[in-house]
Amino acid sequence: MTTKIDSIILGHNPFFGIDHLSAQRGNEKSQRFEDVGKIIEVLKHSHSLGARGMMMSTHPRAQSVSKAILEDSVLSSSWRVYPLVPYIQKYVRGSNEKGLGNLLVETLSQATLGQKLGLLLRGGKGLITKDLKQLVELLVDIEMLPFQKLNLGAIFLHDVVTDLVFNLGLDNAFEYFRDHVQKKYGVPAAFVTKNLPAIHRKFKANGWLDSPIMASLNSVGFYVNPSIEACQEALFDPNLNFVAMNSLASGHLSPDDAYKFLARYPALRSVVVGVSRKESATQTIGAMSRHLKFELPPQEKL
Amino acid sequence: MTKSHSIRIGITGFGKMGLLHTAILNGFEDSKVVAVSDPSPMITKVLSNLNPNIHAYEDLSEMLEKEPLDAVVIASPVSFHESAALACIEKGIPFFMEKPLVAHLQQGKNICAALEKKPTPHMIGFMCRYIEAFQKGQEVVLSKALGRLHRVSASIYVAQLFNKGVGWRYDRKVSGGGVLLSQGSHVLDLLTWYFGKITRVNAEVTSLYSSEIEDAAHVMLEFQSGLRGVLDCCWSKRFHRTPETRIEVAGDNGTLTVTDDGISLYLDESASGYQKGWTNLTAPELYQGVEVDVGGGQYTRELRDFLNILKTGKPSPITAQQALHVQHVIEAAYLSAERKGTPEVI
Repeated sequence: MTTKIDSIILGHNPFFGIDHLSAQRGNEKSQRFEDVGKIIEVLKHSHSLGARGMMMSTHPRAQSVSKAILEDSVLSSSWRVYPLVPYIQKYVRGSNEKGLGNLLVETLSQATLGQKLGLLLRGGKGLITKDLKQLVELLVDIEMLPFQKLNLGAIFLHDVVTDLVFNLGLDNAFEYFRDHVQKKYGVPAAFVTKNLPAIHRKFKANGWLDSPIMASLNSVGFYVNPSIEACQEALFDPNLNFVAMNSLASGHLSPDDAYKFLARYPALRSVVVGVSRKESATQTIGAMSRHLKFELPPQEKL
Repeated sequence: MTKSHSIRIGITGFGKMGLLHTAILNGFEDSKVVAVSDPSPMITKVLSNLNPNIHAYEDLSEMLEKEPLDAVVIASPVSFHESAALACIEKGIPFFMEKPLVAHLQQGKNICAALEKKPTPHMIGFMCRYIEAFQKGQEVVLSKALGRLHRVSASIYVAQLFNKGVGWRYDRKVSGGGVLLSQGSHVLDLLTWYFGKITRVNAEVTSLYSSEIEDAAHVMLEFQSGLRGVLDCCWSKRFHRTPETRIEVAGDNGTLTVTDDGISLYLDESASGYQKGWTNLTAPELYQGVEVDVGGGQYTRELRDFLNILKTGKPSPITAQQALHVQHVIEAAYLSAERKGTPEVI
C-alpha cells in the first residue's frame, strides 16, 4: 500500500458553510455555495494552480458536489476526493434527537438487504457484541455511499471517532478500519486526531505509520494539543505521514507566515486548506509553493 | 505506562455524554474507567468485550456494590439524576453529574438536603464555564470595566429539532422540560456566574414540534443586583449547526458581546486594564491546549477540575446548590409561562 497522497488538499468546510472562527461567516459561505457550480469554479481554479484533491464529508451537499465533479471533463479524470467519515454532526444531532441506541439501529437500516439479512441471521444484540469488525465495515460502507465512482485519495476517520476509539482502548477498531479501507477501496486509511503525540506513539508502536495522520498545526497553537512543544517528537519523525489542518488558524495567520512555519517539519506530507474564493486559492496555494518542499528528505531542525 | 495508582471511575448512563466522559477519563494519566452501567446493555457490553478492563453493569447499585470506586460520573437521563446522586452520597462516593441538576425542583432539593447531612465531594457539569471565550467574558464583567450595567441580552440557538423528537429528551416525565432546561440551563448558569443570583422572572414558551415540552422559550430576568435582561432559546433554529450562545451586556462605559467564538469589547474610556475602543479576541487567540481532547477542551478542563477536587480537597467550582438556583429559575419560568407570563419571584 502506497501512502502517497496529494500535497495540497482543499478542505470542504467553506463549501458546506462551516467556519470555526465565526458561525455567521460560515452561514454566508453556505449561501454563496448553494449553487454547486460556484464550488466547481473554485475547484477548477485550484486545479489550475496545482491542487489535485479535496476532503469531503457526507454532508447533505456532498452528493451534488460529487455529481458535478463526475460531470466535469477535467475534474472527473484528475481530481481525487478524500472522504472524511463519519459526518459526525449528523450523529451528534441524531443522538440528541433519538438517543444513541435508536440512532445506531436507524443507521444500520440503510444497509443493503443482503447485509441486513446477514446481520439478522447472527441475531439482534449479539451481532454488535461479537461482530465489531463487520459493524466497522458496514458503517464505513454506508458512509461511502455518496462517493461511488469518484477517484479516491485516502479515507480519513473523523477525529472524534479516532480520539474516542483511542482513549477507550479499542485498538482493534483501528485495525478493522485500516484493513477494510485498504482492501475494499484500494486507498490508504487515514486518521484525523486532536491528540497528535498520543496517536503518533500508538501508531509507531503498532507499525501503522503508513496511515497518514492529520492534525491541526499552526504557530499560534490553535487546536494544537496539548501544545506545539509536545508535538515536536511526532513532527520531526520522518516516518510519520503528517497532514496539517488548521494551518491558517481559521484565517488568523497570513498564508506566508503559516507555511514558513510548517516548512520546518520533516513529517509534513500534505496540507488541507479551506479556500472559498479564487483569489484566496491563488494566494494560499502560491504561498505553499513558495515555502513548502513536500518531496524533499527530512530537513535539519531549525 | 502503569495506571495502578489511578483514580478509579465508574460511569452511569452510557449515551453520548457517558461515552465522552469515559474516553476522557480513560485518557488521563491519573484516572481510569473501571466500570460502566446502563440499563440497556447494547453498547456497554460491546465496550466491555473489547476492553476487558472496563466492566459492564445494567444497574448502578450493583456497580456501586461490586466495584471499589473512587468517583462516579452520572450521565444518565435527567430524571435518574436524583436516585443516582443519592446512591453516591449514601455510599460517600464523590460524583460528577451532568447538567441540568434534575428534572423537577423537589429532586434537586432532596439532593442538596442529603449533601448537607453528609457532605460529599461533587461537581455539576455546566461545561460552558470551561470554554475560553466565556471565561474571558466573566473576567471582563468581574473587572467592572463596563461601569454601571444597563441590560443583558442572551440567547442560545441550535438546529436540532425539525420533527417530533424520539427518546427521553422529549418525554417530560424523564427530561423535566425542553430547550429551556436542556440548553437554556447552560446560559442561565453563565448569567448567574457573571451577574449573581436571579430573583424574578416572567416567561413565555412555545412548542413547535414537541407535544409535551417547549421547543422555544423567552424569559425576562431580574437579578439581585437590580440588573435586568432577557434570555431567548430555541432548538429548532435553522442554520445553527452547533449550539450557539451569545451574551450581550451594556454599561455606562461600553458594551461586551461574548459568544462561543470569542469576545468583543468596546469601551468609551480605558478601564481595569482594558483599552479604550475595541478589544476583539477570537478563538485562535484564546485557545488553550488540553492533555486529552475528545469533543472539545471544555469537557477535559471540567473533568480535570473535578479530579483536582478529589486530589486536593479544594471546594467544588460548581456545586449542586448553585445548580439548584438555576433549577429554581427554570421552574419559576415554567410557572410564569403557564400563568400567561405573570412575574414569579424566586
